[in-house]
Amino acid sequence: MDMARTIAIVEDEPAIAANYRDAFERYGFSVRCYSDRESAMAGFRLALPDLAVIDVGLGDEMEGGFDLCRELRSMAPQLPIVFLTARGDELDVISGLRLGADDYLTKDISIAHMMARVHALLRRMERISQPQAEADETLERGDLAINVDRMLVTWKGQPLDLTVTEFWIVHCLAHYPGQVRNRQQLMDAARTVLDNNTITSHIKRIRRKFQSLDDGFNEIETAYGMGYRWSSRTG
Amino acid sequence: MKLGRQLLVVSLLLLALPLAGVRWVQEMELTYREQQVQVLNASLRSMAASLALQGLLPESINGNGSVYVQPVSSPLLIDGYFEDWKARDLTSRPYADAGHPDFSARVFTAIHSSTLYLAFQVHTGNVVYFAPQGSHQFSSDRIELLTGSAVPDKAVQRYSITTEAPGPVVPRLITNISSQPTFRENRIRGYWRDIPDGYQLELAIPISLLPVSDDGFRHFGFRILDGTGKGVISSFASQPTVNTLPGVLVLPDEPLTQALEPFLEDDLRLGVIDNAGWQIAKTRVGHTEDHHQEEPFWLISWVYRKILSWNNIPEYQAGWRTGSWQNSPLKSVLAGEPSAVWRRQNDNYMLLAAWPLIKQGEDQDPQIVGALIAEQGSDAIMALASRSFNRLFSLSLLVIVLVAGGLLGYASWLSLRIRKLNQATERFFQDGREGRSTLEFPVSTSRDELGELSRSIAAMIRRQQEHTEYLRTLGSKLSHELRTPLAVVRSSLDNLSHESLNDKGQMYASRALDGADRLGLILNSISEATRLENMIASDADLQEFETVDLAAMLSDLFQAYSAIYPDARFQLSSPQASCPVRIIPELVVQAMDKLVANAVDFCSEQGEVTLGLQANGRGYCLTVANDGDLLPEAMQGRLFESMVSVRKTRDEKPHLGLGLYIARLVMEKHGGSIVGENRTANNGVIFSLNFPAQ
Repeated sequence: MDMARTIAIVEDEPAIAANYRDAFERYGFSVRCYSDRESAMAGFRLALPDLAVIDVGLGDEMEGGFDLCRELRSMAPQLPIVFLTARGDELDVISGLRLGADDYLTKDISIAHMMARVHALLRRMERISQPQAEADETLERGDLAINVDRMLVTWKGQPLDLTVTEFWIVHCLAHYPGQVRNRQQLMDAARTVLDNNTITSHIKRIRRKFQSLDDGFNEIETAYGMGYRWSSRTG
Repeated sequence: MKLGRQLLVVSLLLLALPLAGVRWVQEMELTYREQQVQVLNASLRSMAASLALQGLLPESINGNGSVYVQPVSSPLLIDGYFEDWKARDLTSRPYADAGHPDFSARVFTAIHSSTLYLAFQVHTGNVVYFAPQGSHQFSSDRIELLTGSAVPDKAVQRYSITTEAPGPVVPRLITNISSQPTFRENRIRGYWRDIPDGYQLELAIPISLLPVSDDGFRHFGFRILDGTGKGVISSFASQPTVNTLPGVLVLPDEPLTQALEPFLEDDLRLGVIDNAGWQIAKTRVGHTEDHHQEEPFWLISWVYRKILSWNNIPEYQAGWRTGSWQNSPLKSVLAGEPSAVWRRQNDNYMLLAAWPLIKQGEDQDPQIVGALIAEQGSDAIMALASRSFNRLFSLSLLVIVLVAGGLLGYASWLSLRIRKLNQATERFFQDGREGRSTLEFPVSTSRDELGELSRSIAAMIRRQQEHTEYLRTLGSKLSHELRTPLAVVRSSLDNLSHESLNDKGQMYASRALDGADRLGLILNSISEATRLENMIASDADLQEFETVDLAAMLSDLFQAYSAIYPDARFQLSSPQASCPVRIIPELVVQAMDKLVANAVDFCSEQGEVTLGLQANGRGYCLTVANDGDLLPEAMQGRLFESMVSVRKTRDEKPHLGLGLYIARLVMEKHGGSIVGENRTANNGVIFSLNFPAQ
């Protein structure tokens, strides 16, 4: 990699911004920090970053991050965007907004997990931009096809728009059809620390996304008390 | 005691009202009686004065040996039978010979027009008839009559009556005491009749045969002689001599009776007795209007009789019939003392009053010559008292009913208000405990103390609500506000771990990271509860409800928990049949997770955790029971509140006391309930999730 990737951090809490910057720089990224929407947009107009990490609440603008995300998405449709929120219960809201973010995380995620996500997203970008030189690692379960490298999921040939967290959950489930994955395993796979309810809502969102393509989707089964499993019927 | 009952008891005080009324009626009645006595006495006094003015006062008599004659309104039959006497309600006077108890007589005397009627009933044991052949006339049973005489030099006339056989008899006039009767006095009619132990003799004598003597009286006496010489019954005490007059014949004084007539009043009877106590004038009872007052209600008349103070009044007894007032309670009048007494006759009360008649001679001292007797019924008083009593009774009944009803109504209204206030308060606190949002507390606008109480409670509740709301949002606020600094801490620690630190530094850093992790877990569980609360409060996920077989689900859970908690011993008690219920399975499983986690933590060493499912009437009931310690008594009501924990020990996982709270929220979402209690055997705890019938 000849040139350091650029990460834009839009965060109004200077300590967090500084910590993330230090961490990213440690991993060899070049980091630009913005503390509000205007300065971030100004910076983006000068030069687009390779990836943006945006806090939902920016100073006085409680949801300034959403507007920023929309503007940035219109400027760069392919740019990976990761949302940070201080409130776990906002995840559903953010998801519902269909802002086109690639992932949304709560702020207390560990830096290691954050790095894993950033790397995954960047690698996906890389793969997508590169012609398909070698065979990607893929996984097929009946109608489900997963391109692990590009983090792409298709159902009956139709692409499914999943966030990174969701992708990892689906991947984890589909990897061992018929086997129950408990919440902890799913959390580990998604490299996150979430409460049980959040895993439930993630599963709910994933099902909904599948069902928007196929009303009859019923492959993710609930094992009461234990967790979830990918249906073994097609496997 | 309920407020209503208390006021009812208080209203019993109203019974003092009729009691006072009864007392008043009694007083009033006494006063009436007093007044009646006074009025009657006043009229008697004026009557006496009037009689004196008319010169109708009787003469004073010597009572010794007097024979009292009762007036009779029609002639009597002279037949030896007494039925006509008795039919006219005439009374007889007993006579006896003190020396011979088996020799007695009863004598009737009556007068009609100018005929004096006499009837003797003599008990001798054995009647000795007159035997004309050879026997002396004086040796048979006979009756002698003695009268004053009109013949000069001879004060007394004697007649002797005897007979050879029962039947009509004619007296003989005895001219000389020792001589045989000389001639028959045919003006006197008589009839002799046998009775088992004696005889009856009936006589009719023209009053002209009893002339008025010098002292102004007609004198009359009789002697009954036994043929065997057993004894003599005499109407007068002294031995008869030629010139000794027998006792006075006391005749009814017709003019006096006439003079009394105008004084009659309703329910009043008047009479005059002479100074010997013989009744010489008697009127009928003054016209009594038929008081057609309807009989009062039996209860009222019973109460009335009970309360009147007349029960100790002696039985009625008067001399109207016999004409003899010597032994009446009024006899003190003959000593010059006006008297009045009340007497009871069945349910009626009679006032008997007497007023002395005093003759004021020109040359002699005032002399009591007799007395006016009056008898008055109490109908007027009774009617009056009864009327006022009736009125009192109905009035006080009305008042009692009204006041008691009013009090009761008022009490009911009061207690209704208090109850409503109480219910509203209870409901509020109930809702508060269960975390439900409450309707506005109904604030009373009334200006009394209850209204004030209601307003104070409302104010208190408002503060409480604010406080509850503050507490409720505290969690989510905290988790929100803490997450940013936590992110600072965590990211700083993450960075720190990449710096070169000595061992101690590493150790502290890793401890700090552990703390941050735990803080993160706490925030996660708080936000989980908050999210659940919001989710349950909204109806957005109604479509999440699906029909699930609880039995199958429980069996899944049983396996899952057995795997998750390998150290715990699980039991399953579930019916074979399917138990379909419409639930949000994820939520119910979460609730079960919490219950099972608790059960495992609180389970005793060798104890078991039992998962159960029962159909309870209309719905189903999931239970999680564990052996072990009982629930603390004080916590029973608050177990399901947010942030309440009964854990005594600390362990790795943070416990915020949100588990049961979440379980309760879940059950509320399903319209069901959660109950935590000690097992009846007191060897553990059982939590039940009750799902209502669909």
